[in-house]
Amino acid sequence: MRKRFLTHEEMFDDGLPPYSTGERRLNPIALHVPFPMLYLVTLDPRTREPRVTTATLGPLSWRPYTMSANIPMSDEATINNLRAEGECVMAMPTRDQAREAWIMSHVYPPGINAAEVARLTLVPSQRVQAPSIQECALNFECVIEYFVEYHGYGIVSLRVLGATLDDEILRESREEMTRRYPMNYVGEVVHPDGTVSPRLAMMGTIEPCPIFPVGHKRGWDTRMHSWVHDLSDEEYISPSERDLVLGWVERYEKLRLDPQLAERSNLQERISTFAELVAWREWKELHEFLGVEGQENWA
Amino acid sequence: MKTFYTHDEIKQRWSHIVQGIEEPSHRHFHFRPSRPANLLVTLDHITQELNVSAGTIGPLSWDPYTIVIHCAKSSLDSVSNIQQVGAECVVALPGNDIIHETWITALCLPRGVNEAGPARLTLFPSTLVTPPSIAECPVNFECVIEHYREQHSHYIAFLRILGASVDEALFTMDPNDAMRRYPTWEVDDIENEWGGSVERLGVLGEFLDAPRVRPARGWGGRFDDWLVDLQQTGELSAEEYQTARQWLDRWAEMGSQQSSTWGADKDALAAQECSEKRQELKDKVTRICELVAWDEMERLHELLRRG
Repeated sequence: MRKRFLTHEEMFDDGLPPYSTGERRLNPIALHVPFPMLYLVTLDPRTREPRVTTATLGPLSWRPYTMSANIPMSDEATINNLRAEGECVMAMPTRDQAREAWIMSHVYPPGINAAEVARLTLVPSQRVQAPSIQECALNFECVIEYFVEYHGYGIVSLRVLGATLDDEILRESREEMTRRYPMNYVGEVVHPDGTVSPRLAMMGTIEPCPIFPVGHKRGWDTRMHSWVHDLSDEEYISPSERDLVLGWVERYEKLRLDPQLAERSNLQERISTFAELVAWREWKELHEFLGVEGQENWA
Repeated sequence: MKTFYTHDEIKQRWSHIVQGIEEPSHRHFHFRPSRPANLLVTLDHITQELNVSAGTIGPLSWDPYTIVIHCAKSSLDSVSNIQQVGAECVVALPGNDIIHETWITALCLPRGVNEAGPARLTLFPSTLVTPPSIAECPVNFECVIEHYREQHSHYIAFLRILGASVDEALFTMDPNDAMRRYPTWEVDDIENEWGGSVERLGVLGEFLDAPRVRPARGWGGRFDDWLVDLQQTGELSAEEYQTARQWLDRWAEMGSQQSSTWGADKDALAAQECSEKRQELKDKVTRICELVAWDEMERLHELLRRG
């Protein structure tokens, strides 16, 4: 795992032509973090004509469900539409729309509907005035919570009001679904003849993370106590071992704000070792470490 | 057929909603696009203790290269550590060879206990920032926090990337092959035997056969430049280019007239908007764009010759 360090400047390849927005391209080594791609549908506040462009998506919060999209400030029409109307539709391109997505990522004359250029069909939405895209399996109808201008991009926080989903998709397995959408943008390839093609990719293999005892029975949780209780309930550790560890945790939390204390460091190390041995299922070493007298043959 | 689901229906997570499908969260995750995962290395401002936590990232800008991270409010360590403009952190991209380790960093250990220890991840000094990087991750971005804010159930922070340590192997590897290894993506949760959840991580697998198009400027390229490219490469004659150019200029002129008259005489504008002339011109311009975009050059030549 030998590493090479690149400064921010070294991460770009100045030999490649810049983007239309003037941005340099990242070095073709895999520095470009892939992100889900979306079609952003907005309405012109004056003409009511729809405008469709592409952006990349980021998750923000689950309760309520909000997501972000980034739009170059040079795309004034989309920025103005978002600010004036305060709503939009985020449609997820599907795997069969590589060309359509690429077409829509270009900037057409104001008032020209890129969806028409890309031969996609706009249909009325349910909760917002901006239309949805018929050919997309999933269309999110959103309102804008806030807009931040950041390094040449308009970053919008979009709150999801609802979404339309193709009925036939609903029964597809997650593996099938993730091979259908979202389409992910991984950068571009500049070919020797001067043409450019996007690197677009779909999800591949999906693997589960470990389950209990490597973590809580519930999976995600916020407290170590419940994990220790789960381990005891399922007899991976004895009740006395459980109480020992819970005692460490309780004492550590009392001392937490005094990092100079030797006792605190000692407890920190013990808790870390306990978590490590459980997480790697090293039960013999765990019981030796806990060193509880009179333990039975647990786990 | 399409069905509309409200926000509350989308959020409904643990109930057997889809008839005949056992997984209770099946429908919910159809509405949650998978997102790239990361390991975030931060420092406690007071104790200077390290925190390593698993999370997800989103896009902001490409040059300068910036990204946004999301931390659930329940991740007390991370949330506390990112709430300071100017604070440093490392965003490490984990591969699918360290899924076990990645999950361990998501365990909720008492604040101050460094998750890298239990996860057996190797930390090494970063070059530009104080928090260390993770040797097992192919890419470590060294970052500074430029902005943060509360976002409902989460906190988010905008990070400027100062530099990156990269596995030497990546410099000679096919980039698509690299992306089949990292980063992992948070895809969904499935139910475990205790009624809890099992996080599932994926990696990109299939790279699509995408079209080559002009202009060479790529994403965000302007159609005007595209036309110029076509003329310069001889795919459009000078006469054809002129015809297309005239239509585009006329369309732009009509658009500016519309803007300047708006508010002065709405009825007249409405009349103008509905005019056959305007629609005809719009159809022509749309058609040029469409035929160029779909590389249907014969039909484009015919259209421009007729024009």
